[in-house]
Amino acid sequence: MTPTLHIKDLHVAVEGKPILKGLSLSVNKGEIHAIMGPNGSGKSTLANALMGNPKYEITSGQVLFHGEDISEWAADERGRKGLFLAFQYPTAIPGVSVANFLRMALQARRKAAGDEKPLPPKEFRKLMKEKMALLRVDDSFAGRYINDGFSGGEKKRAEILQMAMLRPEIAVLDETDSGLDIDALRIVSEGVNALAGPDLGVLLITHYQRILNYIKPQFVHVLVDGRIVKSGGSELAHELEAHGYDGIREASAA
Amino acid sequence: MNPTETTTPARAGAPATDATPRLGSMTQNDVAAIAARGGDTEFLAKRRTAAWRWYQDTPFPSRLDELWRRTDISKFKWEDVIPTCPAHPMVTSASALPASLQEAIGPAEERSALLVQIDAETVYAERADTFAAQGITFAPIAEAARLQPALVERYLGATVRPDENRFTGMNAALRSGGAFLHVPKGVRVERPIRIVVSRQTPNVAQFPHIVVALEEGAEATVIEEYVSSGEPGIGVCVGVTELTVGDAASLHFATFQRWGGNVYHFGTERVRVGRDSRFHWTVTELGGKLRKADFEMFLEGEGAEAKLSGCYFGSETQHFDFHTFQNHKVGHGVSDLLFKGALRSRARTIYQGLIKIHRDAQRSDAYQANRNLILSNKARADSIPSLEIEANDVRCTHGATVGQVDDEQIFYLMSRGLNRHDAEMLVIGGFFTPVLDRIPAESLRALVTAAVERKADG
Repeated sequence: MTPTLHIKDLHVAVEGKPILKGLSLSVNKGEIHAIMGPNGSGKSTLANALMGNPKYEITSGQVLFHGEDISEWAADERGRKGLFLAFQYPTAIPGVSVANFLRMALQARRKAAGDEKPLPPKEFRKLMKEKMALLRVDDSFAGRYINDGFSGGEKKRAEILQMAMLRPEIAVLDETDSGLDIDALRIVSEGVNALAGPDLGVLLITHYQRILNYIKPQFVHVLVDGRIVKSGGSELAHELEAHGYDGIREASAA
Repeated sequence: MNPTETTTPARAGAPATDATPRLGSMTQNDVAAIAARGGDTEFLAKRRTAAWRWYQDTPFPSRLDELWRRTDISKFKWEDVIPTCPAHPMVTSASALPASLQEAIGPAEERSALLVQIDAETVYAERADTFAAQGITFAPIAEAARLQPALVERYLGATVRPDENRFTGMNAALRSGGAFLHVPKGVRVERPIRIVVSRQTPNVAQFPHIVVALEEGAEATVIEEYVSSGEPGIGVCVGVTELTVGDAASLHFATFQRWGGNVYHFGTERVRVGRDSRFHWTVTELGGKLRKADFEMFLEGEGAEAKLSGCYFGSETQHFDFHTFQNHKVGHGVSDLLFKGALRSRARTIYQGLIKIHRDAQRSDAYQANRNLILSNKARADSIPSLEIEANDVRCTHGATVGQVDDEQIFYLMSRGLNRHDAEMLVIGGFFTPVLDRIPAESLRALVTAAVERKADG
């Protein structure tokens, strides 16, 4: 069977400097993968390259989505097809309300899926309300400007709220846990868990083992210096916790 | 709503032919003819004559003047300008105004009064029935001078004098149409009063003079709009707007300029804000070929609050040169200015903003920000903020930025499925939102927002 997302021997450079050096990975709908790695290992580069950030140059290898090579696609085409990135540092867009933006984004996504009709305003509001309740954000959230003046926890919740609204097939969560206190982490994790299921594949990129107490991956991969050096089940996360990245590095070098 | 008959005498009707005097060949007799045709009172006619003399003796500003360093008008053919126009008959209902102005005047329920000027003539006036009982005066200047001579003598030229520079002199000498609004003590005008200045005859110049005076405790919202669709030839507008906000009064004044691309508009606009009064100015500048404007707020009473929220959008080869002045003459005043602009293609904008705090204006609080969004590498924005502070116990903040649309913002929006164009439109729209949201009257806000969106769309 063709994997939903298939990353083949991916090499990515930022400003001419190679960061990812041959990364391969498959993620299917219904699966949760965690990628763990130390600072500078290429975690955020992977997230940005998958989403099509023009500052990240794919120098060789492929990203296949449903078997189709999307490495040359612009970010919006990827988004409309069902790829989603929860940003590590979501950017503020003053003057643009969350609701207005999501209405446009949802319409673009529905149109790409062949549904020309926009969601009626009443249904859209109902959907927003439901998803905001899931992420335990106040109703006023919809009218606020995107990430403008949001606390760290609000930004991460807003990312998952967008994911809930847009219902991607593959969601890449780039350090969605960093900077959150335990309460916020629990809310965000519960949100992700509520969305996880047979229609969604998750690629959870993290620096810390902590989030894996809340979101349980079937697959864990260790990223060091632009390559996946070890893959395994959830037990690998505990091994990392016990021995650190250095332990893995040494073991994989041996 | 009651379209009123004006008492303006029948007009001779001078077609804009070669026989029509041009500015270069005008004499004092021609000025007297304009006065007679406009129905000037003796006071107004004398004022014209004095201003004409001043105008003739005063040179145009040159690029040696700080405020004119970046706008060169030396090649402008003033001598060819035609200060009068063919007579436009008065219309008796708003629906009889040209179709192109129907949008500008908005729905009748969103205004309490309306004056419409086309070229050099007032063509329509209406006032709410309540105006007479409330003692509100709202009329073209010549008519107001006949109805309320003392008020006109008190406020005309009291805030912007004819002898300030060649442009103010030109406006006073050649004044056409314009509007005079006086709101008596304690009177509140419920709905906005709209003044529309439009044009349709090629090469005609307009000299509108708008005077607004609110007495103590009065409240009003006034909208001045400059609109045309770009008739052939060039258009010239030399305007003066003078506003007086009495003690504890409140005025929201909106300036909306969307001339066609052939118009040269020079304007001096100033407000004097009294003790404990509130003034809010929303400025939108979108049209014209060349626009040079001063927006000046004089805080003259303690506890005065003056706020200006402005936006401009330049495209093609438009040239905008704005000067703002927050003049704190007495203490305990607050001024807050935000001027935001976007530029496309080869547009050029200049913003110069001055905050001045006089020696006795202790405890003044002044804020000034100019933000520019450059959408083309051929566009250019200059931003020159400055402070002159003579008092020692004040709070003053100013800032200026010139930047481009942030790639990270575009990537973020695109990652959610929006195409690049929609993403850019959202970011540009968002840039202006804080300013547009403050525009009074829903129909005007919608009109301005749509006009900004059209410009953003390129």
